Amino acid sequence: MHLIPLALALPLAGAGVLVLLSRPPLARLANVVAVGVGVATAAVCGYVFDKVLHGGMLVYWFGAWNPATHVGIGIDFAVDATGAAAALLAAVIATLVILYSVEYYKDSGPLFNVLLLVFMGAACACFYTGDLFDLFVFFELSNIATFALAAYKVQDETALDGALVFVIMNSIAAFAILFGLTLLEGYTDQLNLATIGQYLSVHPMQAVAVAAFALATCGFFLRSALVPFHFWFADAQSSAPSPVCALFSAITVEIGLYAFARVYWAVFSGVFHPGDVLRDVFIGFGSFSAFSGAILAFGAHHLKRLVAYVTVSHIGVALVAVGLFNAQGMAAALLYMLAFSLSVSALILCVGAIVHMYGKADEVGLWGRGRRMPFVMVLFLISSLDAAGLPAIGTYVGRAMLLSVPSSGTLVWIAAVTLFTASVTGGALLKAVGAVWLGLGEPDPELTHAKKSQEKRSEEESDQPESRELGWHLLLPPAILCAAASVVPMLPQTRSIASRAAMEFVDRAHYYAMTVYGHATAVSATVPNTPDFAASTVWGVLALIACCLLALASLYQRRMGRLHSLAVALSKPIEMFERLHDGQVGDYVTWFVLGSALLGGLLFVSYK
Amino acid sequence: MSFFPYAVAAWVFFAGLYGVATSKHLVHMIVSLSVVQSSTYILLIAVGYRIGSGAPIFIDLPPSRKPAVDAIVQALSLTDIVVSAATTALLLAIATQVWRLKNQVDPDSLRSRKS
Repeated sequence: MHLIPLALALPLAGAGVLVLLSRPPLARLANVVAVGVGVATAAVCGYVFDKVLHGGMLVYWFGAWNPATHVGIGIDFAVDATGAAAALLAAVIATLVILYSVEYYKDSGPLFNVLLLVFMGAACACFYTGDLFDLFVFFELSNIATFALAAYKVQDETALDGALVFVIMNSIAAFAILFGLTLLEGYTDQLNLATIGQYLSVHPMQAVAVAAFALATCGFFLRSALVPFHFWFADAQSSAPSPVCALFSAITVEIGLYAFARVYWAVFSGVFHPGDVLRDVFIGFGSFSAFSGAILAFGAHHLKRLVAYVTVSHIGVALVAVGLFNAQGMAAALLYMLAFSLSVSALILCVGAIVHMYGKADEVGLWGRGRRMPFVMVLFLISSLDAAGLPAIGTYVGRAMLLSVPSSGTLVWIAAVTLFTASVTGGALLKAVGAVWLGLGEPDPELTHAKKSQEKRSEEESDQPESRELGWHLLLPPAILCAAASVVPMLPQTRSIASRAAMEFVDRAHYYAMTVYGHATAVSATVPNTPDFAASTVWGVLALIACCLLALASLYQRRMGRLHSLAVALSKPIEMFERLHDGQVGDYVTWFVLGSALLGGLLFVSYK
Repeated sequence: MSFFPYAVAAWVFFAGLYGVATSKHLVHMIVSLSVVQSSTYILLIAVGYRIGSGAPIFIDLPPSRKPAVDAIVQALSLTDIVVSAATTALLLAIATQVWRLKNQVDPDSLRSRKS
């Protein structure tokens, strides 16, 4: 049990040691140390997960400041099965990313790994913490580590632009969260999630609850790149180094969604009862993200932007699952996010391999050039199918759970959202496979022309050698992630763990009793839903057909007279939507304020 | 409990956001971001304040009869200032690098993607 703080302490200490090893002759040793610390942290997370699974929730009070009465003055790590699993996933993905960047950043020295380790510790702590202010602190710590990682290529203008947008937007999100939590602290005089939740449910007060919930939610949603708070995401993704992008899509986005769910269930579920209005609000936000992300992904020509929009779309589906506000929905969200984070990190690492080979990531410039990397194609293809859950791997189980949640009114809508997301994002990813690796169809002549003239201008800059070798460091991590995404979510054990974890997660009384008294009666059990595999398979097959058709249609559109004019007509609004992502911080801040006002207003209405 | 500090904090928060949204200079934008963060200091100190109470120092002062203001939020605002220093330093470093590469400090010139 006392191993829990090691999940934070190990990577931070490792980062410190690594700074000492940053002299060139020790670089090889530094890489070994970095990977070793990552593996050790993952092992600690695995141990904690195993403990929690068999012994129930673990609460660790720093400095043994246990709560004497009902007031917890100390700071705690309250680890339940959900948090432990999420931290384990984050630690494993981060370790693989460190292994990957050994090759990727051969020349840049171990400081890159120092930041990766700091991020890893902060991410684990975000999933473990039971204290609202610490949630903010670890959130900021992971933020600052990723800020520096995003701006790592300081000689690259686009990297700086993307990093600037990223830092400013995420800082504003953190301040919104801090503002909300300060209001809560002022009203309840507590900082512990469990005791705040208890106090609020006994002494509800509308103004504080609505303001704090709205502010914190906006901050978390910005981090999880949900529309309309997602604008910074594609910019940061397209300009940051690929290993960092994998962290964005596979970990930071999940931290945002996890923090939202945690804060809702531990703190606000006593005052915002999961009624129909609240459900509609969040399912609405999620669906909006799912639809817009999928459409934007289909219009994207830059591989990293493409994956960024795919993330926006799938995180929207996960929010729909969380937004059902019951244990079954939460279980579906857990399975869905597990499969998606594994597959999306594999996708990004594959893109990273291409960038490593050719020094660029746009479809037009890479048309047909991936033929020399068949193994990467196989990985990318399988991960694409995993991400879309087609026909029966990856997010398939999460979708099956989601489609069987007993809330009949919204079921048709949810089915439509999942079908749309799976087919359109799947189509977008398959289109990329067809274009980059198989060289099917032909690139848009306008884009090719623009590209040519641009390349002429920057001919001197692009001195990337084309004959780079792909080391095993670049292939092994995506292969592991891709295999895990295909297998792990399909195991029956994973499903039963997710169901149990979700029941524990949504039980506020249990969380409170475990935190304050250290023991509690059994979790109030809800009947776990049996996943609707039939529906999910039918949807999977339908979506697979739809996405193959979409991909082929978009690759060969110029050969299909009438279809081509339809495609051109359809692409106009998509282009206009894409043009809103103009990289201007001012515009993004305005969108943030508008989105917050909308969310705040809706929450005010749904309070009862 | 007066609502005045809350109103001030909200005002400073939105004034800072307005500054970020309309900024024409990167350094101005970074300072505006610090202004947004300053609103959280005001709020933190405000929620811990009790009228007529003393400083939360209990070690080397004679024990006073007066109640003390909330020490925790003051510690939190210190943490907050540390976070602010880290973020501002990083942003200023990025801004100087942008200036070095492009001779340009207007945020409108930022184009994070090539069309």
